[in-house]
Amino acid sequence: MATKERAKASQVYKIDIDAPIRRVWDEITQTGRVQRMMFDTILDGEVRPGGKIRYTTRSRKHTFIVGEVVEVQPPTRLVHTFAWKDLKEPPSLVTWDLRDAGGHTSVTVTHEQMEAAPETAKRVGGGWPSILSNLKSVAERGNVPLKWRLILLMMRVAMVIKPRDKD
Amino acid sequence: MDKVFSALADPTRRRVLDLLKERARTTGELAGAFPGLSRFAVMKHMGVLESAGLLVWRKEGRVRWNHLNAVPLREMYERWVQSFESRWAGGLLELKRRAERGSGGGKKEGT
Repeated sequence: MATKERAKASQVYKIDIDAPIRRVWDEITQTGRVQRMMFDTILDGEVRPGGKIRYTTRSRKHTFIVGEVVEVQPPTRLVHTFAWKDLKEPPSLVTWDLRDAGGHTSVTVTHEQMEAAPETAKRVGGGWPSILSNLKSVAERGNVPLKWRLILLMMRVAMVIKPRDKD
Repeated sequence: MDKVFSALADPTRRRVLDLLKERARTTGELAGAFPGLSRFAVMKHMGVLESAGLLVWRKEGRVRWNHLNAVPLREMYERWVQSFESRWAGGLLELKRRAERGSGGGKKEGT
């Protein structure tokens, strides 16, 4: 039964990217730089097992997501816990699987352990398709589509006037 | 993209996607949702969805769990709707510029 509840509450997303696996891997794991595909957030922390990570705004004033790295196997596998900082829900688990398909890269994201995190599930259900679609755009063409550049600009404007996080 | 369109051009397959949109389901559950169709027929539809990239599955023990992969739908949307939305976003930016000029600048925090 536990397995069933777990499977029901998990999400799987897949995309094929016309770029070498290393390039895709670097895009996902780069720290300290703006990740255009992750809605212009910065991944902070160390990508090594046990390393604490967080996704912050450019200014680092606000943190959206906190987690801990569980497993790293460059350039094929990254597993980390995932919790929205503003939600009081237990951490879930994100697994990135990259597979070299003859110069192309097949990317699968599995987001699980959300049985007790319905709000998290709702949010990421809307987020992952855009993130993967934007990852493809960044890896193949160097940037996200124009629409997203405009949306991200608007988000930046909104963040500038928002007070700093308390911790 | 052709595969996505032909996969969507069938009411049973769209219904399968609706069911998967709610949550992941086992193959047995999906087959059971179409009493008028054989398990084989439903699985054939699932195969079409899978080759279009709209359905992904993974095994938990001996059970196959099927998931909706909304990424191809998102890409389709980006391709055809994006240009209209860009205009909309551009309009918002213009509105913001005008509002700021008009209001004489509200109270700002941060930075």
